[in-house]
Amino acid sequence: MNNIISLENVSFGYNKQNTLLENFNFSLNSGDFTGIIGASGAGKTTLFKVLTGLVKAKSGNVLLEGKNIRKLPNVERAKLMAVVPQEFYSPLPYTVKQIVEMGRLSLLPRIGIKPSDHNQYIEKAMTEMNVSQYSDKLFNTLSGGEKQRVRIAMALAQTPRILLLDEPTNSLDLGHSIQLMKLLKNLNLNRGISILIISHDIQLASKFCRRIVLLKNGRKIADGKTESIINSALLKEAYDCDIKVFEDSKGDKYLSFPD
Amino acid sequence: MMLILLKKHPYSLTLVLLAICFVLCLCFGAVFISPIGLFTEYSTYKPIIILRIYRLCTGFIVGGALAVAGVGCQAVLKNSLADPFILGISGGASLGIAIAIVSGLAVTGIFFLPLFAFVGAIITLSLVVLLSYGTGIEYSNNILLSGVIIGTICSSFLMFIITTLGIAELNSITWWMFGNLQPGNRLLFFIIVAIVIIGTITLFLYGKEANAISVGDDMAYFLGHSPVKIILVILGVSSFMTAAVVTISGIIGFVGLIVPHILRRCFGADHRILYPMAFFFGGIFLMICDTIAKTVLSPEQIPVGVITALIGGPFFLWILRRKA
Repeated sequence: MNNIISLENVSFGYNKQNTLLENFNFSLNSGDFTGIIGASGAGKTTLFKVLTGLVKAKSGNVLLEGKNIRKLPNVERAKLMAVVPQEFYSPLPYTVKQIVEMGRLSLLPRIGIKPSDHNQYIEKAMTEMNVSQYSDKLFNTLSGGEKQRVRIAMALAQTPRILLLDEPTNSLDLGHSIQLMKLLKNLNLNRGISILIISHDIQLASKFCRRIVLLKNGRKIADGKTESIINSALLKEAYDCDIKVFEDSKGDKYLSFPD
Repeated sequence: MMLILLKKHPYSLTLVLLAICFVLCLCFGAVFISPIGLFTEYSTYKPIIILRIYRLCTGFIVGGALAVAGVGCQAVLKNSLADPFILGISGGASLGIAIAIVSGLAVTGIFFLPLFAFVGAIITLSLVVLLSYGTGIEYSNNILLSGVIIGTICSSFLMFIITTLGIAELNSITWWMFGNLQPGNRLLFFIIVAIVIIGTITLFLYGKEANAISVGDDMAYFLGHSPVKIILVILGVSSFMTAAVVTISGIIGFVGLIVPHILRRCFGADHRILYPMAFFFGGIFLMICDTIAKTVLSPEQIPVGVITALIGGPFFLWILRRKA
């Protein structure tokens, strides 16, 4: 399996005094569906910013397909990696189709006609995320779950090899969260898109992610197959509280919180 | 019905609308000339018609530039209340021009006026951005507040400069301050026309980037753009265009606020259509406002900035209430 994205001895802090990540090593393989979980302040969002190249690491390398992410041309980076941030709002009245089209804008020539397949990619992304019926509706009028599907459709329009999502189920109810995670699973299995999610929802992550990275205080305390990571001892270490883990006959994990 | 047709054929119908408005605006002024009279009695009214054509062209270019600059500011700042006037860019440009006039540099070369206007606009904008930088989610609102404050400081300096002037200069600068589309230096006018056209085309070519930056700086980066480059180009060109038109028209507020807001309701938020439409409709809007300004108390004239402020002020409050 080849690495799509990798962090080699990466350290990061917003100033010289504090270090939020130290000598962090991580790699995401092609076809992975990985979840990064941890308590608040564990460094999940910092790691997300470093992974996307949004902030520059103090030391070490962040490589996307073997190339330094900060030195990759913007368009090339966007074709490889699409990102769905936790916060996304549209202050101007864009329609759903216009939002999804933004995923392909960097590929359009500044002058001249659009490529013939431009609209096909947009339609396909909207169909995959089941938002075609809202095409001409204003994005801001949609519900939270619909908006999140539109955001992912925008990312899919980039036709990326890897999809990074920061807290994708945040602010969604359980039904919409499950629906969204199933859509991501389909993208991973059917389209072969590697998926990395940052999540605080251990239950959903343990159900859908095949690999889990557990963070605490900017350190990786565990990294491996989901079934080996989701256990009471590691979760207690990560979250500083007692969490009981049960397993059913299918191998699915369930969490319980004793008094 | 008109709106549906306009959405279907935006460019051709806008040009027809522009032609109709132009002819109608030509009719009004201290002397009314009927639309037919414009052609049949051309020789009689030739000096008046030529003067009005020149003034309408000035209004069109100034209005178009301010509306396009407004669209640019609103995209970059993600705030539909941003416009060059509220952000203090117009105020900074005016102060620059006043300094050029008082220092005597304006008479030594015609290029000093737009140059000083641009320097004033850029310094103001930089101060506004620096004062609001790092204020997190309040950034968008803080930049407006900083704009209002810096704009007011610029006005105070301008007032101070005015107090040092003689009576004759005082009269002309007062008219200029409130917005005046009276014909001035023709060479300067053509320089400004060139700046506005080049600026509008540049921003139009950055339409897709404007779309991306309007949903967030980080988002623009994720979508494959360089946010810093987009912000510099759009705000820089918008400031340059504003500074250029302030040189010939003085401070005319709210055009960059009203026109983009209405156009977004008609054509949506896609900047690839919004920029050219803002140019045409901004021009049409200011042509109409100027016609009202010179007709309503005829033979007396009101500065066009008074008319745009009377429409724009309540409009601003209406948007503010809707946002709240």
